[in-house]
Amino acid sequence: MGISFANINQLPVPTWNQLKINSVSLDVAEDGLNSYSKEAKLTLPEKVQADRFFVEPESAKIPGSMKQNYDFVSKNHNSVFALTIPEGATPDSPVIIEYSLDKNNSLLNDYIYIKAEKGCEVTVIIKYGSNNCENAFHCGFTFLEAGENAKVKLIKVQTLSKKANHVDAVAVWSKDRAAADIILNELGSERTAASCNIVLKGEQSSGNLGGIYIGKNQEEMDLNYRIEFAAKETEGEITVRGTLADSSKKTLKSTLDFMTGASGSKGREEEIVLTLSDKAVNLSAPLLLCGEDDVEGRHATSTGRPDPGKLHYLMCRGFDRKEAERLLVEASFTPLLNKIEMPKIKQEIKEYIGASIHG
Amino acid sequence: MSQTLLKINNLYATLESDIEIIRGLDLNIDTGETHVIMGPNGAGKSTLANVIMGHPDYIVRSGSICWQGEDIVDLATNERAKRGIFLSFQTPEEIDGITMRDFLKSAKAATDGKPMPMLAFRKQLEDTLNMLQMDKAYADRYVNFGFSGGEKKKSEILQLLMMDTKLAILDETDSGLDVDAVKTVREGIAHYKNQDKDHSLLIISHSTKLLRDLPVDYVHVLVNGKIVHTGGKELIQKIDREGFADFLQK
Repeated sequence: MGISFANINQLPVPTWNQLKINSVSLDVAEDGLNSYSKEAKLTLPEKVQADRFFVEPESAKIPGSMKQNYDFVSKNHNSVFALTIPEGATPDSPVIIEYSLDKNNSLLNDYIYIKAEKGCEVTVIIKYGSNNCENAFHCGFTFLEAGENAKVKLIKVQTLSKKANHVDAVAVWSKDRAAADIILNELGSERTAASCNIVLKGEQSSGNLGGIYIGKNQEEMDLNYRIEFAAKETEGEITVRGTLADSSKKTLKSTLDFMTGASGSKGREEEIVLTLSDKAVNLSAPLLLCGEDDVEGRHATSTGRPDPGKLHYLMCRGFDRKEAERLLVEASFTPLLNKIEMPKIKQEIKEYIGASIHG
Repeated sequence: MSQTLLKINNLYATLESDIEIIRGLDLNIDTGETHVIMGPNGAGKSTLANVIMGHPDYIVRSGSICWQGEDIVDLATNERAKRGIFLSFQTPEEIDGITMRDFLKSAKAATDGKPMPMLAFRKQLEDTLNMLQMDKAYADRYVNFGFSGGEKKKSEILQLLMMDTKLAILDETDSGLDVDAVKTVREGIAHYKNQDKDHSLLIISHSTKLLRDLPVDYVHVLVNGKIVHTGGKELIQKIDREGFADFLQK
């Protein structure tokens, strides 16, 4: 028995097949995996409602590129949350959902539906980690609907074990003047196929997608991030910072998609990658798609080894080469980590990054 | 009693590309001494500083650099820093994303081998910022990021005063500074000397404004990668008046 995903994470506009970035396929053997049967740890502030039933979004709100992920999770889910943040609610602490995979709970298919009603303001943190569990599989689908004037921050932190497979999708639907801030931390797993699709459906809505990743050993990552500008005066940014060590490989497809009618919209995408090894492979495919004249879109990508001048400067202050590299990696992640206001979570991520870089 | 800290013997060094820049240089610095290296542009002053710190772009072809009796030519840069050599950069690097506070805390732990207690560190940092007339907010700014030229040089002196070092190599620390900033930096350097009578200085400069009021033991003139003349502080005034023409002819 096995789990198969064929041609997921599709690039919105296909390019040459020989580049092998149009999509990714994944086959995972189920042998030895045990369904996640324990309760996820839930931290729920007052004013937020958490139900354990499956809420189906309108089918039009599920992006075509994520249909396969959604179908798989809707059929095979073993953990479900439906979070409702009522109109105008501003909980003073975040909602935290923590999954910890272990030998007896090594196969997780989670579906999380978040409805942030009009004018609310909330942070939701979802963590996927593993404990004493070499082999694991996670497939997740998170749907976030941000109502008018809602402000939602969604932070996902994935630190699964080095033999894990991780398939994750985040779909965001924003109404008028809603602001969605998504920060995805892809730090673990041997194979990752993760995607995020933000649809700015409401006028003057905004979406910021921040991605942090670390590749090490033989890890392979395929990331597919897209913002769809579907209404007037919308604003969106994709900001990605990554580090690739050893023989790791990463493909990032990041797309700003300006639809007809999105006049006055602005978008920006930027990726900075530090490679710590000559064997690491980095592929980046930034796309700007434009169906409207009156829009502004910018993109920038930079890949390279840590700056030798900066390394020497740090070594002159007593840091050995590895520590100096770790500092430069941490420094490159700082703009995104600073968006995480919870010191404990931020520290956990920093420590995980530090341990990963030190190998 | 003074001891030899740094002894450079018949040093030849090149850039990676085999361009010979240091050509048979000898230099001896004892504990507590202040040496000044002056010379025209392109003489090899900054190269000397970089070679002492083990910059990977420079290769020592022959000769030795001994630190307290140990040949350090093959030592990694961070090991030289740990032994107490500090280089104040002519053009300090910007490290966007690491605050001065975190940087200094980590650097002290890296050189001392153990972290400094939080309260003691905080007090030392605040006192040093005050001494250098730097706003406390600098501690929470990213290392040299967005700093003016003068602020970067003050930041280097801040690091010097915070770290436990034995020899400070100041590479053109006065360049790009206005009169007030020169005065502050000069006070910072004097403070470094006063912290410990054994603290030594190697000041690389081609101007004299930083050297006013600083006790100087030796002034060396560097031309074409070699020290061609050594004298006392009076040499500074001579160079101020007459330039390097006499030494170039030699």
